[in-house]
Amino acid sequence: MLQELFEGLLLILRFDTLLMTGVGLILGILVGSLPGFTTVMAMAVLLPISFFLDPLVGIPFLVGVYKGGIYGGSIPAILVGIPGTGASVATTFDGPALAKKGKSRKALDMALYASVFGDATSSILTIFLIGPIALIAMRIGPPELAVVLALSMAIIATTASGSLAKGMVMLAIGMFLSLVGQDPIGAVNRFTFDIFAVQAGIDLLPMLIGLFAIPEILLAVESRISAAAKVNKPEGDPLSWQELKRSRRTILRSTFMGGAIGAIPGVGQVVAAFMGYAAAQKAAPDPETFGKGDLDGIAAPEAANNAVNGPTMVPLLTLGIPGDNITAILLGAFVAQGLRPGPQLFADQGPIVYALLGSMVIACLLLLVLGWIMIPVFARVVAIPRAYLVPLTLIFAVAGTYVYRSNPMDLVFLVVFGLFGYGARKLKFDVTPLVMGFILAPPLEYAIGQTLLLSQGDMFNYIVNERPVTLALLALIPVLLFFVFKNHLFAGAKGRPGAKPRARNVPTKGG
Amino acid sequence: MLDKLTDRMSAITWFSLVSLATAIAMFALVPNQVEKPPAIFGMESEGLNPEFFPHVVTALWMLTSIWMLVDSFITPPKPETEKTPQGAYVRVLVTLGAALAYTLALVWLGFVASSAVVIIMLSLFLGARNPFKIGLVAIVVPSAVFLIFTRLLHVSLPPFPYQLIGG
Repeated sequence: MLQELFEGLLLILRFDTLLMTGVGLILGILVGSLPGFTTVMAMAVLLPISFFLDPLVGIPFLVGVYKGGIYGGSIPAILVGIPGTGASVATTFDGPALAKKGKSRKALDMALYASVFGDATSSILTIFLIGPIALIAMRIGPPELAVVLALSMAIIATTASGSLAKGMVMLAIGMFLSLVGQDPIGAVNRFTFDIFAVQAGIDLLPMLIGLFAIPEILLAVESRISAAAKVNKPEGDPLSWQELKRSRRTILRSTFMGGAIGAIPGVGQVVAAFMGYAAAQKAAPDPETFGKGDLDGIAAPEAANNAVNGPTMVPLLTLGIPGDNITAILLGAFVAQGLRPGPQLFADQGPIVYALLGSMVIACLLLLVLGWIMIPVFARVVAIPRAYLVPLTLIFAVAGTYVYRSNPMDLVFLVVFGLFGYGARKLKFDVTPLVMGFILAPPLEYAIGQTLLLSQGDMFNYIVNERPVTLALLALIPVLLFFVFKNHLFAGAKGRPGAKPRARNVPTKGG
Repeated sequence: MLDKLTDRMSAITWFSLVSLATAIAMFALVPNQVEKPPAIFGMESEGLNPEFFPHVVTALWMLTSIWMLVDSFITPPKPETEKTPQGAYVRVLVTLGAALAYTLALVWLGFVASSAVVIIMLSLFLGARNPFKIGLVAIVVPSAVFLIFTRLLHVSLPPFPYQLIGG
């Protein structure tokens, strides 16, 4: 493992990788700084660029967009009290209060340092823990994989924002859409309705851009947008070493909380940020200062939401299961580059996996430098009128979809998914289970098919007698569903059905 | 009874009904829309029948749609906290129309020209009034994107109006 790690690090230390990671970070921070534009949208729109770059350049570029976007959301949260992304909603509790006191520079510095520490620590831990996890993943066979995939889908559907029923319907629709085209075992046509253009199936890219970028464009134009946000420039002294030291316990606590949350599929940055904030407030000797401009109130959510970033890669890289919509986009990038995440990727191309994980740490270090130098520039971005940004985002979305395969049918799918995504947002549906169902259903069907062949037609006896791990995992599904259902009922009784914090035009997941 | 039910109907109820109807239709269409696996040397395949998974998925879709339908009657619709701004749907429709027109124009007008037209029209419609800034955004950004894609990433984008290249 150590040898592969060193080989991986050598692979990643090249100028073009560093350059494109930096470009990704800047683009991510720019988009994250724009209220109403999310990291997911930035990644979806910029995803096609990564297809035409070397994997060791294209994927670090997207990692840069991811990390930059999550951090960038804190800038408008602090300066104007509007979260740039869902992940930075908790930062609005203390950020604007500090800005009012003339300490916005301190708040922005704290957000940067806490973000970098949380992200870098969780990424380094991920690098050292992912190897042993991958070794376990390599030992699992088709029956266990089928159950893990089913379990992941159940977790994602049940942890989606909104009601449980809505999450399950979205999951079922996503699974159905994956059936269109050729089946993964015998390559026979299914649900093509004799339309030649859909025989190859629905591509992931127009779906991702349609569901994540187009609805945000349409939501952004709902209100008249000629006036730009009034921005307070970063004011006051920079953060001192003593002030940073005083928040060290908060940053550490939030880092470990965020890291643990990141390993659970479907939970994500928003929950981590709120939990980090609540834990910091509870542990503080003077909790009444929270919400009135406490630097710990910035450090806690920012360290927690960024610490999610590293561990979300664990289920993706070891099992090929994306835990949220951001890792689903990264999965799209891997697949387009000919890399299929899962145990086999570790076995065949271990150094490349470690190189990509190493790029996450490098991105954190670059974020520290770029963020520190460019905070005043990014602060001005908040004020760019959306009347210019909306048309630009639209052309990126359409052109990005077209360049991938030059297939006009992809543009049709883009518009259809865009409309569907917009309707879903208006009706408060979370589209994450749809994307997950679409991605995970084909490997699930394939794993079930392989299990059937291994069992020679007697699946029940095969699983009961020869696959105890599968049996144990199967037993977990109803237990999990029971607990989730109980929690939903409990939340409903308290008048908060499926309660999760949400702000206007800001999705509850993935920033 | 019927009045009480119709009173409780919300957008989610309608969505559930459409979802349920589609799921039932797809379940019924499985035998027609799933090809039979080829028999090799007259032997049927022993593997998973290609109809099995579509039946499971469409059945799941039906059951979850029924669940959501029932849920929409049991859970009272939450009072609307976010009012849709006046004229919002007109702006959404115009933007959507622009997106559709752009997808059609991209191949025929070329990337730079069609992008410039869409940027000018949409930014004016959305409230931008500075002709210098609009012109700058409309010309510089698509040109830069075109150069980056075609020269640096070696990806083809429709370059010029279709007629100019003899189409």
